[in-house]
Amino acid sequence: MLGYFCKRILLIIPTVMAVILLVFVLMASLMGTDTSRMIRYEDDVPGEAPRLSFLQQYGKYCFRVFVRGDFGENDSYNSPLGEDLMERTAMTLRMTGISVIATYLLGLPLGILAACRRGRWQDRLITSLTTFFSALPSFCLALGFVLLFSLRLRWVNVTLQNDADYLIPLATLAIAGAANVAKVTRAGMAEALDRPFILSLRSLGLSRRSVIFRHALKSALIPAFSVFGTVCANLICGSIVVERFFNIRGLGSCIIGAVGSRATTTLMGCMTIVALIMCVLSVAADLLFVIIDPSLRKSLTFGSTLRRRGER
Amino acid sequence: MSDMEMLLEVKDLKVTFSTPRGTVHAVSGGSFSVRRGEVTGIVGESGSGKSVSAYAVMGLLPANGRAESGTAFFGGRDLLSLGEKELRKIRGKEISMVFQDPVTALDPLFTIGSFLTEVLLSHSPGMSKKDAAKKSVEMLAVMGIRDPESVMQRYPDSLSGGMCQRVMIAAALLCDPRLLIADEPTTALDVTIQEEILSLIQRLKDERDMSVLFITHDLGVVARLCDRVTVMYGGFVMESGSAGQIYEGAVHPYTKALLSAIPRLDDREGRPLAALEGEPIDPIDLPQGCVFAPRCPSCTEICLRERPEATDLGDGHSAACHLISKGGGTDD
Amino acid sequence: MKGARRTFFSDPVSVLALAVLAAVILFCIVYPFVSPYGYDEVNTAERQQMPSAKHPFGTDYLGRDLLVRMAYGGRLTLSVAFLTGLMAAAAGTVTGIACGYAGGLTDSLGMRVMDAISSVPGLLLAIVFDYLLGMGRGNFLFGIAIAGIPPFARIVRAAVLEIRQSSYVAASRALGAGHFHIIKEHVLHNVMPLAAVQASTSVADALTTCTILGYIGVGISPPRPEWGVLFDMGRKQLRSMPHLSLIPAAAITICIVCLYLLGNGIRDSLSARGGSHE
Repeated sequence: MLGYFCKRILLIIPTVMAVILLVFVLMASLMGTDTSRMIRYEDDVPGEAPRLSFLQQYGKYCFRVFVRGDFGENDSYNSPLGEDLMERTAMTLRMTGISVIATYLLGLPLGILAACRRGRWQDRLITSLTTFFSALPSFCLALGFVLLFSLRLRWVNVTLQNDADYLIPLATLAIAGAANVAKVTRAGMAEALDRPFILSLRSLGLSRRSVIFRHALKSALIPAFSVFGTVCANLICGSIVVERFFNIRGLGSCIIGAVGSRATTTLMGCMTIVALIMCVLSVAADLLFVIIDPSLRKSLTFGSTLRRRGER
Repeated sequence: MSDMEMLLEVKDLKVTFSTPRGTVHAVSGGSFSVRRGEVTGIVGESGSGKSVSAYAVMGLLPANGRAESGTAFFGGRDLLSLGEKELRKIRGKEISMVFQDPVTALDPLFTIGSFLTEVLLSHSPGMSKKDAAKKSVEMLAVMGIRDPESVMQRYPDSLSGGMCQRVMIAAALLCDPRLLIADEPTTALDVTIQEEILSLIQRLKDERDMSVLFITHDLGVVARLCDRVTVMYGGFVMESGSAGQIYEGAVHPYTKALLSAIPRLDDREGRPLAALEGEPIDPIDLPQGCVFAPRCPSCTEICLRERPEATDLGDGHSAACHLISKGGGTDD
Repeated sequence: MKGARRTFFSDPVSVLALAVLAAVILFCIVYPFVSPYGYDEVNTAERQQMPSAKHPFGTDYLGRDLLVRMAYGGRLTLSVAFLTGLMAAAAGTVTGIACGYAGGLTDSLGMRVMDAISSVPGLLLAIVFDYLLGMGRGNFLFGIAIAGIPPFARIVRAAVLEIRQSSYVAASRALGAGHFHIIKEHVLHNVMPLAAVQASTSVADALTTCTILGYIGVGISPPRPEWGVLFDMGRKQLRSMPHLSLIPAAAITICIVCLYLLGNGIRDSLSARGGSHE
């Protein structure tokens, strides 16, 4: 098992490099003939920048990013991009981190409740709410929250002056995720409760609490956490919208800005960081899996791939 | 025989399921009993209500199922009138159950050890984890499992079907229940393993002064194991009596049909194996008369009109058939 | 199939969802012809008006009538949603059938590609496509469509695998039926209902992505009044004129909810008669 995760962690850097290469190729094809200066560096001397071939540029970028942590120069401010990106990434990660936790704290209980009350009003209420919120674009939700809590009730400030004001963007992010988690948890829990072992556990006189929360829930956690990567990815995507809506200086607003002003260096940096986050998340999701389903542990070796239970 | 000997006595059990298609009458007249130290077999084809009766007794019917009426006395208490809390104390401690498919009956995410100790600890909260583990290992050894310590560490998917069934029986017997309900415990297993499990149940019954309610569709298994037999069809009890009475002196046409469907090695007359004609009844739309009448070879006009009552034939042998209540018998 | 249709139309929620959706689409098509205003008709005399009889949804800071802009925007948004949703449906169904039916290397390769696509959020994919393949040329459409392929391919593939292993396909194989015949007669026939359910989800997802793109200024951009664009413009006057952003948001929400209800209705009506679903 250790070997497997070592391999996964080691593979992160080549994966990110592959993503960088892909984006490089696409950007180069977009820029046409002049591909010599896709990335700007602070130590470039104006006028006498060396004409680097495509592969040289790629190599230089990877070297600078992974060895020196240098993402190049900010396209609009002539300042190092790295610091700015780190600051923004920290902001976005903080927000997504909190909302991932909120997502599961909200989604899991709702899903469990719906599955345990299958077919009754609690189930129907939760199912319709989760369908509604998972379908809604996050800016619609954000609008609703702002109109209600900020403009009408005046509980929080839209301009985000206090920490408490961040509750609205966080809630906006968390609710859509929680709806998805609740949906998957409900389905997993309902399926688990129908499994024959539930009956045999009950026939042995185990308490309802143990049957539901120890046994059925453990089975249901597998599908609930199999969407962990997707949930996180959606939250990062959702942060693009939320950061724009609330004018938060994060990675998402950086991507939009870079796309709008065609700032290749900035965009490249954002893409590298997003790819890195996604890779780490994917390893984290696998780790979570192995924690929940210990029977997977034995089969994991350096050379194996993780097959999750129920995967075809 | 005195009532003292009766361990479980189920009378006039009625179980229905509400489904989108309508109300399913799974069991309409379930009466059977298990005496102390004996094995009672309930025999019937699928859909006869034999398993549902057992689940109703344990209070384990699915959410859409309901025990409408009847009684199930066990140690002076009517199980059907007990609440979930009281039933939970009886389940696993006084009555245990073993299921058809042993592999799916075990939670795949828990080791055998944590499963067994959890069962023990839930019934004796004061017990230490160490003692529970020790007792579990002992019980696995009683089940004839070699190297029980290593089995304790394993997950169900790494065990064979026969091993899983032994583990399940071990879990069922951990708290020394007085009654074991075995719901087709050998159907999903290989023939050789079936034999081992049957001998195991037989041995445990003798050693532990326990009674068994054995649910099966296999009359051969019943002959090998059971002291008393109850034959069910379409949710009704057709005939019940001692194993000898059923095998040698069956009076109900359905029992006879079942018996004649078993191939016999000692049959020198060369009789053809009989197969029952027609389809099993629709449990949503029960016929007005005897449920077996549509398929009965000796069906008469009254059979289609009225349900037959159980007729006592003496010595604990009874049958529900108009041909018998008229005193005629059906020997042909 | 006939029974399923009857079940669908006997469910008031599904019928209502269908009716609302049809009404919205019809309104978007017809209203711009009827309206006295054009979607980009600036009228400085009637700027920043609250809803009135003359302008039922009010006007924006340039005095443009929001109702006609909503109708125009609906044409854009809904046609993008349906176009990309159906593109994803077609490509996903083909991929799913190919992977499920061919098996082996095609299957594992195809599914790996699907995994790779679905590991990137659809919104990001659309942004990247739009940026890298040149902006303002509708390339974001491909991004939205491609992001919608994997769920389709997975559902269809699973169904195909099940069908391929079933005895009736084995039987028609034994009778000498060719691959094309089997795909046409058995596979497509059984997979279509599943694809229909997924298609409504896919259109809803495409609608969400499209409006978000409009909102963040990628893809369809001003002056074209896509619903996400309209929302973004209204957001700047949230305090004084909340209806400018509330109306586009409501339109988006209503359409998405209707699409989901429609999908649920189709699924329920198929499973109620014991259809091939699950």
